[in-house]
Amino acid sequence: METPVVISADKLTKRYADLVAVDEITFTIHSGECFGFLGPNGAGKTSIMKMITCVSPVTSGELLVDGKNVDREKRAIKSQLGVVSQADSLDPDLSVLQNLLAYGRFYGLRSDKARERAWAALDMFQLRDKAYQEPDELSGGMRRRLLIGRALLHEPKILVLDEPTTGLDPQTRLLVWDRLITLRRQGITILLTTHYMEEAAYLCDRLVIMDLGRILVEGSPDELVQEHAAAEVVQIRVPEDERRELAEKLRGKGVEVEETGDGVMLFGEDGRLAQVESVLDGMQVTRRPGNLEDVFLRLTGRVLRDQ
Amino acid sequence: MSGLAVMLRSSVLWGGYHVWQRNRDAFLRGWKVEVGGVIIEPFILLVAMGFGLGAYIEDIGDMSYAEFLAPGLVASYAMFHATFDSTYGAYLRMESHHIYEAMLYTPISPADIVVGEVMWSATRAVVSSTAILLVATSFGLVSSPLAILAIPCAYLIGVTIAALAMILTSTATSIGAMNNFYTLFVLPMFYVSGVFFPLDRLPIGVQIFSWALPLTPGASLMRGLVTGDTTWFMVLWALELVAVAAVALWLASMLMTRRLIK
Repeated sequence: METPVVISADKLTKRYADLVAVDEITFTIHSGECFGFLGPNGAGKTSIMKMITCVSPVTSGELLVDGKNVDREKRAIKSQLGVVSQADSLDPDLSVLQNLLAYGRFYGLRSDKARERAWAALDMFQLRDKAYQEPDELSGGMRRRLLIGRALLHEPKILVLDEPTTGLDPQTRLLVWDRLITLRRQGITILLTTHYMEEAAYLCDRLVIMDLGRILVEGSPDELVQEHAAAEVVQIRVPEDERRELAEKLRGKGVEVEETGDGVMLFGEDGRLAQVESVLDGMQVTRRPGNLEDVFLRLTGRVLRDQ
Repeated sequence: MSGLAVMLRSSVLWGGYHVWQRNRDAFLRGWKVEVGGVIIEPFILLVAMGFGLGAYIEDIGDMSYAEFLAPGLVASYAMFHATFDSTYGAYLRMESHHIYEAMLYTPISPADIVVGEVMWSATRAVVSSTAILLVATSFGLVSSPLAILAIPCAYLIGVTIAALAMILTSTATSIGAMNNFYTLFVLPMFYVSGVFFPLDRLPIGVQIFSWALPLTPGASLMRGLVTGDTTWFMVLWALELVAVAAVALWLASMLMTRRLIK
């Protein structure tokens, strides 16, 4: 069954004065999907989010959200979106509850409805007993939970999250993931950007990996791991002076080798690594299946981006 | 919904009203801290200047100096209290607290934000003007029932001044730029807009300059209403304020859109 398209981009481009942030990308997102944008800093993820949420005009190409053009029907589109941006934008002059009520009004909710939904959001994110406190009295995790709850007040069709769990403690991250999975089950479409491969693999039905404004690959996490990551990865810890020699030796055996900060990494398909077992005897070795992080690093490299 | 309701819901007045509500809620949480200043400062000024200094000053027309001064202070404090929220307050909300950013992700537009901030600033103007008007009334300085119109007049002054302030706020690159609004605009106006003395004592060049500033028609309008000494010029003065406010609102909305939507 083909689900309806809720967001479609065709040759979408965003150019700032001296920088092409998004370079002619094309993608479609279907109703009820959780869709991820992954990429190193400067890949263009946030620019895409800003164009989808109508706060940054499209330079060229076409972007339709819920069938409407982002440059022409801003108000109509924005009323269907719930947005959690990277900025911590809680209102310090209002209580926690008032933050939610004010936001409800911006969406045109009647005050009794807004009040009902505000309490439901506080319950959903376990903040009921904080309702009358100041946002400044909340921890970072609580603030993020409140920001997500605030974005859900008007029951949006599409939830847009820009790095929703960056900087959160593991417990809060699990709570956020749990809530997002519940929401997706209810049929809401979720877009998210993240730096955490584990998060993308866990939450996303489909994702794209981007770099320098372009989409490198697109698919489900499993597909991408199968296509682009090795079946097995072996990490060997070796002192620096022995590293080069070991790498050469292994390369000679026909396996893919990469030197890393603390040793050597081997990537192999099933059975291929068996040929080098004798070399690994007695070394400090960790084995694991290939994962999304391997895909990401293979495609975008290991070099730091914001230098 | 009727056509009118649809039009209203998609207009800046609708979005602006929700921004106004946000500011009202914030104000009501902290107003007790400010209430002293709102009443005590103009009270001191009125007593010191009106009755203290005024004792040495001859009557102006058939008015005592205190009677002359009081409506000018009502207009001036409308101006002062309209500027706090549309300069420092608005700048903090925009740059430090990311509140405009959060609003923009909702159906609120940059123009809604400007209109809402201006509507709120004008509300503050009305609150402080009303307080001074009551003080002046208790001193017997208010002689006309038309003085009730001082309230819409204070609102109009507030809208005009706040709209001008929002032009600065939407283009400012640091909070220090807000100081200029006071030192270069608000305070000079306070002294040359016919609040403390009739303008006809000034050189003609300064008089023309003064009438181009919004506080001069504002103070004159206020004086006509509070004293009941009306003239047809009052219509012209009101129209001047409306015109300045309209142009400033349009310009501030455009500049704010350019700043926030990149």
